[in-house]
Amino acid sequence: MAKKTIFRNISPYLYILPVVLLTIFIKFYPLVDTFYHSFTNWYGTPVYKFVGLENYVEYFSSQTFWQVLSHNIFIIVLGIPLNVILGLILATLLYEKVFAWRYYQSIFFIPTILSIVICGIIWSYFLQLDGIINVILRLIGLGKLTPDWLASSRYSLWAVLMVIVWRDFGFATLLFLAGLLGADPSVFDAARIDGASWFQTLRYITVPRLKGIIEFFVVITTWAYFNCLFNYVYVMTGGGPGYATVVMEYYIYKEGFGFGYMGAACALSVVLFAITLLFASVEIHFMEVEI
Amino acid sequence: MKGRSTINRLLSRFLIHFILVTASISILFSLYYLSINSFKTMDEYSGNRFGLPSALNVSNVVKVLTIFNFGIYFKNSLIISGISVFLTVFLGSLAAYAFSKMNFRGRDTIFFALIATMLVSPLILLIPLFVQMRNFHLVNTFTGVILIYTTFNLPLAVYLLTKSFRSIPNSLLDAAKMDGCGSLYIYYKIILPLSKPLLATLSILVLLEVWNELLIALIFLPEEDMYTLMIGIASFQGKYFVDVPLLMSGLFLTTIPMLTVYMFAQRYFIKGLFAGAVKG
Repeated sequence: MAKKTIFRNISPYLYILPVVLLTIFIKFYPLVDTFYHSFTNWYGTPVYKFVGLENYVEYFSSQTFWQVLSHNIFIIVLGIPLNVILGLILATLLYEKVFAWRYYQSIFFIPTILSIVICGIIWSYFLQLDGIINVILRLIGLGKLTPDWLASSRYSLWAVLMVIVWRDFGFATLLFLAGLLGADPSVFDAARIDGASWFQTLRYITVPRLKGIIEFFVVITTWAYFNCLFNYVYVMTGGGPGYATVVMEYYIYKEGFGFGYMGAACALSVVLFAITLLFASVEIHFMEVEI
Repeated sequence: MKGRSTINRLLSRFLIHFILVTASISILFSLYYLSINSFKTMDEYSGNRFGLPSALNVSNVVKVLTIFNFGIYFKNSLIISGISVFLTVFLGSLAAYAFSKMNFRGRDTIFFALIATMLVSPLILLIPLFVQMRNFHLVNTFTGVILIYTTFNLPLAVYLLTKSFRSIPNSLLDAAKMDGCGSLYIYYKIILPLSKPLLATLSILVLLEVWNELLIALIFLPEEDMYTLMIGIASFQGKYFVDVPLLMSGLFLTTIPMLTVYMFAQRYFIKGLFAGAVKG
């Protein structure tokens, strides 16, 4: 009788044990380790010494660091609104349920399921000096604006931004469309009867309805634009001409695995983690305040 | 009046289609470009970049599969992805079962802490994780990357599954318990069958994540015979970017599996995402 009671009390822990163990082994321990090594001058060997805040000070006073960080901010500040706007427009259009709307939605979502590697390689061909993008630009008379996009220190980040948005707008569209489909259609019908224009409906009904989903999208995409851009850069530009397209992740990769400054790279990782947390907290705070 | 509004309706429909088609063009064109150029030779490509190939030249595709080892890379990706997906869904559902249907000390705290770890991306842990894996001789093994992928996908799996399991009525479980069923039996015979759609959707989500992943695979599978398809295509691009049709063939082969899964799973996938998004 006693044995059965113990079993009943222990067994929930057994169910969660693998998950907890794995998380501790692969996430918690290395996280602490990263934090610890960020205060050393580790070069990957077992021999290193404690240097306190030296790594952090060096980065915060280096121009490169702020330049790299600005690249992430650039992507976020431009990319997220673009995704949201495109997503809203396309979702409202699809909501009209015109002929074949499901097929359009499927097509929009394809880039999201393709790996970034593939999207990046394809677009690096389209963005060549004589690639399809420049061919089209010349055709419509913008012949002056046809650089080798990924090799230009001025335009490469813009090109990367475009590919990122190209890949993500389908996801935004899907999310917003799902939100619209789940909502009560009678409001939209009422608006139509009252003669509201497309734009008015969008502004006063659609957007407030989708607020929660839009905020959700903004939060996860911000996180992604700090932590998931590595593949784009690795495949398309390798950092771009000089450091033109280096983002935080790529910077960590370059400093740690490229130059071997492991301790410094750990410091960068901690900083990135802190920044991501900061942005997430700020955004979530604003979301709560609105409600 | 009636005639006018019909024309208005037609015009607006046309405009909508026009916009939707324009948005689709870049996507469809990419796939088109990829496919047609896989079947050209380099000479043919130089002269005719955007048109259809004159003949279906499969030599590049064959070369990529055999000489360039994409067959091996595909096998590696398949093994790694398959096991990672299975482990994530299996371990995640066990944990979700406990979080949703059992009471124990620390349940909510542990759950919250687990979900919170979603904030940590692999990149941040990359260096110490590499050293740790090296100490356990797990670098350049399937086991190492499988463990990493599973761990990073578990929080999402646990979150979605817990949410879903909670909606299974307790009366079902109580009835089974009264019949003397143990908790594992309930898990296997009640919880799992009732959650098939979510399990399918989750599997596809995780599959997508793992199949398309590059960074972890790149760092933890340095030897060529262990490469996944993603590493293969990334390094392929570095070496053979001059021979465009060859590269296109590689891309084409890499794209086909995911697209195929997507075609079949579309219904589940989109329905699953809809359900998640709508319920917030």
